Amino acid sequence: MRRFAWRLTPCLGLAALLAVALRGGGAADDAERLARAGATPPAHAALGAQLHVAARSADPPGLLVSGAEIRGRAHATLSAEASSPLVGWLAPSAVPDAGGRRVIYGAWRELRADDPGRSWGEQGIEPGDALARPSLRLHDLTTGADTLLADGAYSAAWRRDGAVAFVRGVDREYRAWRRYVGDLVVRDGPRGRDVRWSDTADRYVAAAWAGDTLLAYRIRTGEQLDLLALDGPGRIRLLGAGTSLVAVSPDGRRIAVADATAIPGVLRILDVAEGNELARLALGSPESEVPTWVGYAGSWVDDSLVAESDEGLALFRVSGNSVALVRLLGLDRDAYPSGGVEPRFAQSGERFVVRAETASVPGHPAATVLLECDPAAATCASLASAAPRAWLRFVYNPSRPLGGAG
Amino acid sequence: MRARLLTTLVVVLILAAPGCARASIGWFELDRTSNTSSTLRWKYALDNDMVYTGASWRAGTGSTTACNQIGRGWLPVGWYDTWGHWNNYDGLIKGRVFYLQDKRCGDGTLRTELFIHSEETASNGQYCPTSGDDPYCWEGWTDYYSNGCIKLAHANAGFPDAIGEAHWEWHNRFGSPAHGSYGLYHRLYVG
Repeated sequence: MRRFAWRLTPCLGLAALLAVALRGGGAADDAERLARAGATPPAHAALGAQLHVAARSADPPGLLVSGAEIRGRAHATLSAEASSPLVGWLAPSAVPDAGGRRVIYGAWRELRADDPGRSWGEQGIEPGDALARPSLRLHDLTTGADTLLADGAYSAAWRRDGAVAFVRGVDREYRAWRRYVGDLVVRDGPRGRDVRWSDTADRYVAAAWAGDTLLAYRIRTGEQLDLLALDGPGRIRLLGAGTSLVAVSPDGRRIAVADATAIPGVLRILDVAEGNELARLALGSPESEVPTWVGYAGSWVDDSLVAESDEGLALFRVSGNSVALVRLLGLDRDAYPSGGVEPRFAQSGERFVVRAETASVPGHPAATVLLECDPAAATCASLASAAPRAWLRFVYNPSRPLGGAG
Repeated sequence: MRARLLTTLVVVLILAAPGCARASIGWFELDRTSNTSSTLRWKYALDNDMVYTGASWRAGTGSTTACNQIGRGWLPVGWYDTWGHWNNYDGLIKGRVFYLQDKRCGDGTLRTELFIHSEETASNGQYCPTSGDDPYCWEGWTDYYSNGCIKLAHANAGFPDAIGEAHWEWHNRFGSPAHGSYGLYHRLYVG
């Protein structure tokens, strides 16, 4: 194996360590930079409004997970902390089955320390060194049983009939300077048999089921996201290059997708079975001046769609052959520099819940918060707060259709 | 500004310390201020003497400041190693590229498949077949948006030859003379 041609290792290593330590003390500088970066004035379109976050707190409408704890309508202690570093929020870190009785969650066991402020070489990490091992675990909320579902695996998508799709790594360990490639496999129930659906190993993420079609990402060079539809073993269709999944329609027959790379982008409604475009909205155009892009991990109830965007949380109305923006709700960018993400409808679509990260200011490091918002009143209440490393998230199932809790 | 001066001072002091080998080294430094208008600088230290700043360029990274948004967030802070530089890379991205190590964001999310690159062809030219956004053509400021990578302009549509200048600094101011896949320590700092 070719080794790194390190030069000046001890001296530069010490220099870097001290430099990072010194910079780490400049939280005020970071906060100022973030505030500047997010200082774009909110859209002044007639549809726009700023969300007011009230000091009062509310009970979560469903389940949430933070560290190794599940809270909300049920309480449980997990055997491992739930997190999915290889997935982010391309897919939920914890997903319930259709009945809401069991939860599959991602776990991440570090095999050696990796300080993100320092480079791998500085830490003595060589190409091929094992850094971590992802796994999927199954927790029964009724009995408290917590078992390993798959080792060297991540991103579970749970279908209405109990089948589970996930990515099984070719190598169980995540290693330095190695792409963590795997196969998309489908298991006919948590204790069933694995069937490989992908034809070649790649960097996939199992995102959601739309009926019996598995929707998955393929992460390519430069983190470009390709959206794939898998109708069975080896039956793979490319729904879009540089495309992200916004949400699956309640009946699972349509999906909302958006450009993941191009800005200004396009929001499209596709027929899942054929991949045909049913409706489109060109963003950043006279038709819809703002927003200019829409992000992944949104939610769809009845004819309403909510998604993250560059101008706040965007609510759309979807009809047979059209999709239209109806509301833009922004969070205060000084308080929440990156806005709200991963919005989910709650209470039959009358409200939505959303996650955000607070700005880091002296004495108050950044925190992840979960909010419940009333779009009609443009107000939000705080549901929970935790340090970013706790991976505070809503527990939800983006697959459709679903019978019970989702 | 204070943090930048301190960083430079620390590098100088350490390089001047007894026992440190006399050698020169160059690296990129990204000052992350916005998705489409951050600044990438070339810095180099000469034989344990002084740290100099070479050219600097407008640079893009991501399309949101949420670092932990895979495929859209800007690059995590910290020092990066590189694993290769190519003049004629011919994959999904093309041309002059620098391959970066994976890096974790504050919550632990891993950013992977990261590069410094432009929008150009494998032969370092421009391919602009449509009136829309072509992936190997630098048409305008929106091309600074990326999935997370650092993007530099190609000389086209009135934009400077930033990728060409960065490439020159790399080869001529102590980055590395080599091409292909090879590991180098500390060739990018993102702050």
